[in-house]
Amino acid sequence: MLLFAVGAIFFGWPIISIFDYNLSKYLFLAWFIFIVLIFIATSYNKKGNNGG
Amino acid sequence: MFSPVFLFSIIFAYLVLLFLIAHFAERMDKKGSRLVSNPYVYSLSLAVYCTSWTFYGSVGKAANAGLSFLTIYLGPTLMAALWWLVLRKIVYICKENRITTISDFIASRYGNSLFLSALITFVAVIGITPYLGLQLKAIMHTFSILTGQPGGSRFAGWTIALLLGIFAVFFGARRVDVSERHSGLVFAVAFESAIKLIAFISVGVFVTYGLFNGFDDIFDRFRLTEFAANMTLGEEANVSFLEWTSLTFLSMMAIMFLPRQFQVSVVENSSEKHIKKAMWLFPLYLFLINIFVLPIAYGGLLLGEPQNNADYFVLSIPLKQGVPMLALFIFIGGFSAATAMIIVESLALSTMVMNSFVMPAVWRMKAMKSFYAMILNTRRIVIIGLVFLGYTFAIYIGEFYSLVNIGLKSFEAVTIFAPSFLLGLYWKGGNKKGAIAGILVGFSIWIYTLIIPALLKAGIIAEGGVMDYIFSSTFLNPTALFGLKGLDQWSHSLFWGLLLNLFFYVSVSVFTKKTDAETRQTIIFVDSYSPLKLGLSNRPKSVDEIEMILAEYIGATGAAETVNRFLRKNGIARDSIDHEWLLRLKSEAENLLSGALGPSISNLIFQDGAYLTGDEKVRLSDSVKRISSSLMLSRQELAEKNRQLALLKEFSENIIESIPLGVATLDESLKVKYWNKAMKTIIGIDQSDALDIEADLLLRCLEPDLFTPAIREGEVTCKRNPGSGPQMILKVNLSSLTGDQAGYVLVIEDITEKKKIEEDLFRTTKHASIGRLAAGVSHEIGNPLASISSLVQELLAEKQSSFGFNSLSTINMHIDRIARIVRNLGDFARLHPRQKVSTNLRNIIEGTINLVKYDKNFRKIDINTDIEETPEFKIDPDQMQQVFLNLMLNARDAMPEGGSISISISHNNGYVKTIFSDTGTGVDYETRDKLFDPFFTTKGTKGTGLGLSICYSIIKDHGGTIEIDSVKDRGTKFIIKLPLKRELKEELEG
Repeated sequence: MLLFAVGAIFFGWPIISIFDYNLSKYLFLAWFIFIVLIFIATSYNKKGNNGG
Repeated sequence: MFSPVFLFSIIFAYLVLLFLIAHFAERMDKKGSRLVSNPYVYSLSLAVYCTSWTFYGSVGKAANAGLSFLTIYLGPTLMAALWWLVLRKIVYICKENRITTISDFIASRYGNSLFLSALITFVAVIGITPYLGLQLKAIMHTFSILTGQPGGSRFAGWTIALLLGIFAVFFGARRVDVSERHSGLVFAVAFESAIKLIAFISVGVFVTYGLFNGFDDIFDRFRLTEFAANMTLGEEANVSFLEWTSLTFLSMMAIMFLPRQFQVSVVENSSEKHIKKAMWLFPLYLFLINIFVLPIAYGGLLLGEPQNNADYFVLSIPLKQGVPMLALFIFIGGFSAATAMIIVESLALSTMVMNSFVMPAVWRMKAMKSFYAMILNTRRIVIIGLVFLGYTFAIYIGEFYSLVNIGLKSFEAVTIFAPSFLLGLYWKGGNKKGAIAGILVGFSIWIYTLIIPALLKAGIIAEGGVMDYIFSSTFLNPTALFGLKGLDQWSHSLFWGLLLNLFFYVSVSVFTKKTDAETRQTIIFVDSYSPLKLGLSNRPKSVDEIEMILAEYIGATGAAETVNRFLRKNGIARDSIDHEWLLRLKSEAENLLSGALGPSISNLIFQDGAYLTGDEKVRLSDSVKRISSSLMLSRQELAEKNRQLALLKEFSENIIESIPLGVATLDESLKVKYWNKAMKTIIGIDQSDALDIEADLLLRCLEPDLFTPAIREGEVTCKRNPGSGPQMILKVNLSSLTGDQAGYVLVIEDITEKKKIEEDLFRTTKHASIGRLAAGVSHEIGNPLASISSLVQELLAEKQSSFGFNSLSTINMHIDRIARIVRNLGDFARLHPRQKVSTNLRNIIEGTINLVKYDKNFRKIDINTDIEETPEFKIDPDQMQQVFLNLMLNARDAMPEGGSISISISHNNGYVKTIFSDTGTGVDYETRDKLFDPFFTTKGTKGTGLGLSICYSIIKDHGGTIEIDSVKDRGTKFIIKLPLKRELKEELEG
């Protein structure tokens, strides 16, 4: 849930409004970092997480 | 350009390859291979999301509206972060209730409402058909581009639609039970995902690095063009931040509610664990397939390609740059993207249509003749019909819109399901009336704000009259409903659709009541992970009633089996079943039929008043029995997999049972749960006696305490005295079980023999070192001692005073003692070089007995012999006699008050065994271990501590062993084993 909130902030207004012509670079970088964060989060929760 | 025949051949060859791959995967899956059921294939199959819209349309969108295309992929990436919460719950509910479509899911949540299921299916078919058409439009258009013959594209589209329909039928509609996974189809879709990714990256690399000098080059040059606004968002760009947000939200909903996504992510899911890996693998796929979208779009515009043809830059650029083979590969990639979508979407929609329209219609019309064949054939017709519906759309309407426009309309359509679906998962207040109201309103807004303007633009609805009136109205204008102006069409439709949908869903739910069935389903869905808490329905009244209803469809025997199996499994007596278990039984019976008939019709069967005439019952019963036979086939496959699993289990157990290590598993309270054969050999306790007993009661070591006060994890060496036998030395490893299982695994190795060999080696090495030392000492001390002894003898021979004589006698006595020690040291040092000759051991023993029998100290000792005839073998007779003499003298010293010595010689297995036993004082355990150590003696100053060391060294030098078995106050036994054929061994080694 926290990860989703982080993603929603970083891919949404107003953050994306500050990058102008470099917006595409920012979006792809943030996207990749977000995927890495999901990877870390799912790997970290591998042991015995049944909660949902 | 390519000829149409050539291109058709390529398409046909590709479809044949796809067919073979699917067929191969299906066979592998049946054999129990994990080729299909793994998270990577699952993640790749989710990429069916990337259709020809992604493949062609993203570039088109990027060239026309800049970065907004990314929302279509960022939305699913964001949603993926929630999958462990949301998707896992959906998968769990679907598996528990054999739900196979999104319409069945929502209908089931709201009391198995048939109307709701039909409504959702209707909305989905209307909403998704343009999306199917989009794929066929892309195939037809790209076919025209590659052949350069626009006229033939319709025929190509028609033929391809038919081929894809047949493919979907073959792998999706071979059985009636749609709750089964389609392993071949899933693997084929995963393969297509890989192909389209490789193809897209190929063209991306070609444009970015083949035609330009990388990303920066393209971006820098593009920034100077008139299209530079496409690099940004906001007021000056082509896409507002509001549109960006709306599109992101729409794609978040699409990844959950598009029927094909529901099919691959929920129905085709084989393990919840795959979701966890797909949460990052699927977004990674989306990331990779989008990396080159901007360079291709910007590159195409920089190369002078027309902006309105940007959807097909990926083909037109390689063609114009003279790389037709790359264009052909790109065509195959685009074809992959389209075919995967068409096949899976038509399969998913056909199941919805079957469960929501066809089955209820069959039921209500009571048209039950040839029921089984009719269901299967109808399903096949529906699949092909849906594909051709899409084809029709592509021909007549599709040409007026870009790929992205068509796709987004479908996204908006499936977002209509979001409130009733998502709130239905977590909010118990939602009911059927609210869901129907919300969906009806949402659908109406979708039609009004998106479809009417589209039809007007396509010319299907004529301008003027009513249309002019509503479009000029401030309040009713479909593009500015209720006077809301300034929004793009997607945000506008989403805003009103979602707002009114939510409003009606919540308000109608709050102000109307739920039925008992709805309440029951609400609990099943919202509290899905909790045990079922039922008790509100008053039907059915008895087990017999359920069995009777079930018997009408699967026969009396099948019904009785089903009911009895349920009762047996849950340990319930038929007569004393309570209301809650009765409802569970009813639910089980419904599930049994829902796999073939859909949950709604299955629910209908169990309602009161669903009565049939006798003839109808017979015919329907026959048909459902055939369905059951089909299910039986599936059960046979399941049984085959179970058999393979059992073989695997047997193999694993065989390994654990065969290894020479003791293996046991313990639960958290240290009770034994598994105990292998080696454990019995080592510990001496049978498995049956060990199970459920606490491990610390079974395995008590002298040291250390294994299980108390705290559990020792890791490896320890444990000395154990098992009672009558010799002491054991065990290596014990205790470690926690990994994964979800709690408890420990205990591995024990008997290292007694190993330790003994280590000690022998240590002792031999020590003897060798001391031998070298002894040689030096005896030489250096022996010579001066001989000189001193001679002088003392001479002095003693002369006349001495009494004091002098006594002193010299004492000196002489001590010199004798030193000389004896030096002689022994010399003996110890001179052990190895002696000559070995063929000798009979009996003669040596008899010679030794003759030596001692006249000794006065042996008078009180009986010497008994039991000597077998042994063959002669090579030994050093003098050294061997020294051994026997040492042992007899030791025995004599141990029996000062007399006793008996028994000597026996026997031979077998290539060894001669000599046993000397006495009835003397014996030694304790600690002393026993040190007896062969040089200079260790139990005789005080009388012994040199070298006698037994010499014996040990002599026997070792002969390749034999000498062991001691002694119990304090009960006597001592020396066991000597000498090999008969040592000389042969020595020759071979030499």
